[in-house]
Amino acid sequence: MLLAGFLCNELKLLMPATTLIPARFLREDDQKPRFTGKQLVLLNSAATTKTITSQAKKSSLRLASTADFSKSRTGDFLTQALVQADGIVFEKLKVAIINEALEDPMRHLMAASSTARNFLRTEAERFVYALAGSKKKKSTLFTDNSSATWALQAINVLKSKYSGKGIRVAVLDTGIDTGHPDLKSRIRGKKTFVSGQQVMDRNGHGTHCSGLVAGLHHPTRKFRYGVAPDAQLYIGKVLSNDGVGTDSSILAGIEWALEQKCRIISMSLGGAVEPGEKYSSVYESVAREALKQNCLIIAAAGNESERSRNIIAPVGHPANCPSIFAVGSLSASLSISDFSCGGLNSDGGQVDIAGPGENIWSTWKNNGYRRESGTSMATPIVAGLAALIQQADPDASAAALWMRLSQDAKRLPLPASDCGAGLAYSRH
Amino acid sequence: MKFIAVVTDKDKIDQVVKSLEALGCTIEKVLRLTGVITGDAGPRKIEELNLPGILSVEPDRKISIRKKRPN
Repeated sequence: MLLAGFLCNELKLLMPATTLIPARFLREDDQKPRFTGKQLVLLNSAATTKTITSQAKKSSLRLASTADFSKSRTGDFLTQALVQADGIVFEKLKVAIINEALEDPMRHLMAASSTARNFLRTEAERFVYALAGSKKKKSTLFTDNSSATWALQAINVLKSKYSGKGIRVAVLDTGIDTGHPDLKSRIRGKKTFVSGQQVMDRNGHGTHCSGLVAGLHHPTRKFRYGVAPDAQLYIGKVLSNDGVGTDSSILAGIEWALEQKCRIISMSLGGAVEPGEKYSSVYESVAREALKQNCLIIAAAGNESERSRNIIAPVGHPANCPSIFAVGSLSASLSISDFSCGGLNSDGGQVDIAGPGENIWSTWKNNGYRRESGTSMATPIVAGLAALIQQADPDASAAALWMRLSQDAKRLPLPASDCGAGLAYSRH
Repeated sequence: MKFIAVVTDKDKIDQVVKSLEALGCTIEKVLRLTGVITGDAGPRKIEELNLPGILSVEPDRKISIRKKRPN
């Protein structure tokens, strides 16, 4: 369906808004004309319509005003105005539309010293078209190749000049394979909070997450999978080898990470919440305190959704705290993962960013490697990226780091409730 | 029941610990950087622990890894 630009503006005029800007839509294809021939003119917002029309008149331009039609705004009032006059001033928008072939008087108005301050800029009025949905089914955009995992390609980290050097990142999880050849030199601190269990990871999950933060590459295949290979790992074992823990262990792990002056805490853990359930005030207070102490807590949004069955589960605990940076999961075609939780609850519970979270290759227990899926994987990838950003700007506060991650994110054509600011993305 | 709590003023956390102990709670961890107290309330309800100086108190929940479970 073809809609002329002026019609779009007219529709907006019928609404009570006062600060609308003319819409700009992309063409659907190259066959459709882009411009109407008319001009849009940006006016000084401080100038009255009377001044504008009076100054225009001196340049032989007869301008009508929307106020002239205030009582009779039928569908074709704009057409009438543009037939009867040379153009029309949209009083509330401080924008005018000028008819075709009147470029010369407009140029004069913008150039003359007495009028230039009121006639600021012109641009060609566009046709706007209904946006058509993509007809092409999305195919896989990224694949693991001989040099790196799809995840590292997707977050654009391979060209980064930063490696996370000197940045302390805590991974609170099931521990780490302390003897893993890819990781042992990265471990700067470790502590267990699980009674009767050593930091040594007998589950594999913690080793996987740690590898995503600070693993470098496969020793023989030279296949890169870690985001910040020079980051300093602080491993807090807060979950047992069965992958289970308690709030009290995790809070103790956060406290320890703050004692160790970690700038980033990666938590691929959590518990499901019900729709409408409020976030934990205890964790929110702790996360705020961590931010004050320049430590950003990054946590997995959760995997309870089954989107293929139209089930979207709310972001889990504790990622649902407003002061914890919540990470959703993306597939290699950059669609939201079937399992990834969404921002449903109005009181907290938003997704802040999304990262690669399906078939992610990293280290595993017993000197191993394997692919895993989950918001668990997306989270340490974002934590590693945060380490690169922190290295690029060592004085950046945790709040600034939060903002940088969000600003640098690559926007995706997906709901913000699913992917927050978009795909975590390296701009350094 | 096990609990987690956060205090309103970290500098006065020891006073809150004493109050909880006086109520009969067993204190397990006192985390001074974040102002957190964890412990066991025994037979008491969580709401009973809402003493002066406590900002919030909640049950100590079970937490697990966020790896996707195989279908």
